[in-house]
Amino acid sequence: MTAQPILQVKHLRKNFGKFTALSDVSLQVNPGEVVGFIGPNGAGKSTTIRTILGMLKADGGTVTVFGQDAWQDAVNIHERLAYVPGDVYLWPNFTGGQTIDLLLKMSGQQHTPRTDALIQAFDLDPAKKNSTYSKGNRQKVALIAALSSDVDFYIFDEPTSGLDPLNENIFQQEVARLKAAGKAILLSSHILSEVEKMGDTIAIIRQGKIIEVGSLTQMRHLTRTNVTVTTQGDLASLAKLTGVHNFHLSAHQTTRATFAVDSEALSPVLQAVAALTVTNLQIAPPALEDLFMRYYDQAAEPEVTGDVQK
Amino acid sequence: MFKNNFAQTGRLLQLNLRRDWLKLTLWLLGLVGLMVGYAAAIGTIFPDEAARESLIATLKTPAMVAFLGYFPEHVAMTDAVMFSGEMLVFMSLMYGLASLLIAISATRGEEEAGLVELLQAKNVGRHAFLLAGFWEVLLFNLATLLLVGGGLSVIHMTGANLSGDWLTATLPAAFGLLFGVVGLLLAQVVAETRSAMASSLALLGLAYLVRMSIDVSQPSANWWSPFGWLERAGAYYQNNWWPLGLLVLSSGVLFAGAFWASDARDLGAGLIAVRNGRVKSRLLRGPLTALIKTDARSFWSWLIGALIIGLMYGSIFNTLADMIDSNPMIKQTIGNQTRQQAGNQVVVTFMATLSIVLVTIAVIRALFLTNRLYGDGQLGYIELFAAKPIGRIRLGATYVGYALINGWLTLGAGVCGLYLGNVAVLPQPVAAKYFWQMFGANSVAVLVFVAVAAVLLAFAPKWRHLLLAYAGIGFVLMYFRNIFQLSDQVVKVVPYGWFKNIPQQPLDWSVLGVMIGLSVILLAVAAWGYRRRDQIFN
Ligand SMILES: Nc1ncnc2c1ncn2[C@@H]1O[C@H](COP(=O)(O)OP(=O)(O)OP(=O)(O)O)[C@@H](O)[C@H]1O
Ligand SMILES: [Mg+2]
Repeated sequence: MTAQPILQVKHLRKNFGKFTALSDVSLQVNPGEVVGFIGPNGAGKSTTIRTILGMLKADGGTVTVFGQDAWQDAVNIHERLAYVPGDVYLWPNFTGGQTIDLLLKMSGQQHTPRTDALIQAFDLDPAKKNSTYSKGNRQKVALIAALSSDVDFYIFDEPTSGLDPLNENIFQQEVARLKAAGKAILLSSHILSEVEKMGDTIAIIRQGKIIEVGSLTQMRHLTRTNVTVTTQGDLASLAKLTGVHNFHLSAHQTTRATFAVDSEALSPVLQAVAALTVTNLQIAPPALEDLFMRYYDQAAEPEVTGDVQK
Repeated sequence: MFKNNFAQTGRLLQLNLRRDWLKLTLWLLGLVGLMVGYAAAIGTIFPDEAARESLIATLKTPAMVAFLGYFPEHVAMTDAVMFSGEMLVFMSLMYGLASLLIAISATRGEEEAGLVELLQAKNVGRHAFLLAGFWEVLLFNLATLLLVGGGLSVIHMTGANLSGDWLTATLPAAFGLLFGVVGLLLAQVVAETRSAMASSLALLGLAYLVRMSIDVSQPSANWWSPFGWLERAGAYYQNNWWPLGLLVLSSGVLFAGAFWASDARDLGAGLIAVRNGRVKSRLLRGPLTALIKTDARSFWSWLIGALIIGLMYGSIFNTLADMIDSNPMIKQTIGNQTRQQAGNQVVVTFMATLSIVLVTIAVIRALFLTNRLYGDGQLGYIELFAAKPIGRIRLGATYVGYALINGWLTLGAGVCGLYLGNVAVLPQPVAAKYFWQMFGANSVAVLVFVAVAAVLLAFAPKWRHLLLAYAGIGFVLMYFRNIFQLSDQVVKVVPYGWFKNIPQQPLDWSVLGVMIGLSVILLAVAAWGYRRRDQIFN
């Protein structure tokens, strides 16, 4: 594969009237890469995706897919990508089978044995009318059509929001298959654990701005470890150490405390603790959810970004 | 049991009224304004006897009887009698339309939007939405009743009496209630708002058509249609109140039916279960075929509806021709051959008035379809197309083109029906060329409407419904221009005003050419605008 990224978004801006939905979004997806695009409700995930798809016109910045302009060359671009919207609404009087074929045909794709295999795997009854499908089943229709397309770039907007764990699993396997075949995948979600299982790279968006991009390992590095410790000495002095957060001393004894430590500060802090003679120590592994929560809940801790990048 | 079924109806009603107040107020203003406004003006519009005489003669022609209802014979033509004869049927049609739209959006519409599910999980009764919808329709019609009744008694037209005033106010309101309840019932029976609207509109149209065909041939049998009940009341000259009882009674029965249906069905479903279908479709391959398939039922309904209306009008051509025959003066002075020619001449003149009915139907059909470009975006279908290698222009052109062709087909079906009726009833039918002219000129009007609609969709989609109102106003202007004695300049505000005498006179290609050119430019502007704007999703 060439070095050229499949998707390149640079400083994208988008306003709806006076409301700024996206203020600065930069994003890149390479062949064989799965990018998880996460952020809270209303952060601008769907807006970004629709701009990438040339449905919305950017007010600033550039969006190129396959090296072509997302707005100007939408038709060319769309020949080589598949998309599943966040809310899947389908023509009520078509059956699921008809809808899958229609979606495939419009992309210039064929109904292949893979399509049938996917219908089987997702356990969809293609003879039912769309109007009688549940939310998850409607999503399956769109997913089957997208997954059985042979294209270079796949975009999923919250693909598993309506799927049960079993079907979610199948979806994850399919994404792994596409990734192995060297396809590029952009996947939006608000559930980190889902992206964690599939994604190589994570981009976090909040209030129309990308606030963090990095590989999973990089991100883990930025997380904090939760520590609960009982010592013989007085723990109060620990609170002042750099890299210690959320320090809580037990109400009854100053020798018991819980706190969180930045990954970089782990070793000096633990040395300080060891000096106080440890009688009990519990360390919870760094969870991405914690990191994520910190980004989401920025009002509670306004300095987070600065903290992490230090 | 009562609580289980109806809890919180009052609160729902309040919510409905707050949400719908603008819609309700506009309808109310429109309906009451037309009734009271015309009543106030009727004494002054036709001051001299000659004008009145000619108006009454016009009103008794089959074209007007077909449209406005049967006009009483052997009754002193006071302003009041004229008012009720002109207004009752047509206004009741409007009341019925308003009521059924209100009723359906308050029940099935809410359900489709997921609101019913949300609220029924709270302590809202099972049938509370249905009952709240009923109250909304009832209150709406009561409001019109009081305002119109009050207005009429204050104005006190010549020849009016109190009983007649209130009967004239009550009948359309009761008629509105009846069709509001029809809407409620069908909203329970079928599973989609679109189908509920379509089927209740079809019933309203059917009732109207039945009355129309009876009125022009044998008015005494008109109790076959609820519209006929209005005429049977003989407001101001007989003042029968029993048709009112009939209207209220049938509303009650249908409302009970709505309750039964609501009880028998599941949330989100209709009475009729949706069956499975074929896994494959050979038709479906892109936006156009998807549009054709989703539109299939409407397609046939509109086509057949237009054909039937054309046939109905066509089948009264002989009554027109008979008027010449039955006039002993004419019979004496001109020969058989000329008489038939004269008869046909009357028919051709009549066709010019009729065109407006057929073209308005076609225009409405075309506007509905053009607006689907927006509606389907809201429904989420456009997003599926837009992610495919399908350009904006192609997508827009698909919808607009389909709308245009359907407008023409609907117009064609109407003209075709008219021609067939004409062939069936007239011994020497009017020549086909007149029908071709009628179709040709009016198809240009359809084009103009679609082009303007496309421009609105591209630049100001919020205002897309304005054109429907414009089409409605255009209809009133053209159909009643003789009654209102409108000048030639006034009717030119609508496209068909420019060729109002077709098919009596041959096509004026310069006017049509300008219209076609203008439409092409508008379509190009629309394409340019649609190409560069954001897709609208909700
Ligand atoms: N057409 C529009 N007009 C005005 N505001 C809009 C429009 N579309 C989106 N927005 C606003 O832009 C912001 C971003 O919306 P977007 O749908 O991209 O969020 P999201 O990240 O996909 O959220 P979710 O997780 O809930 O799907 C929201 O505040 C939304 O209200
Ligand atoms: Mg979204």
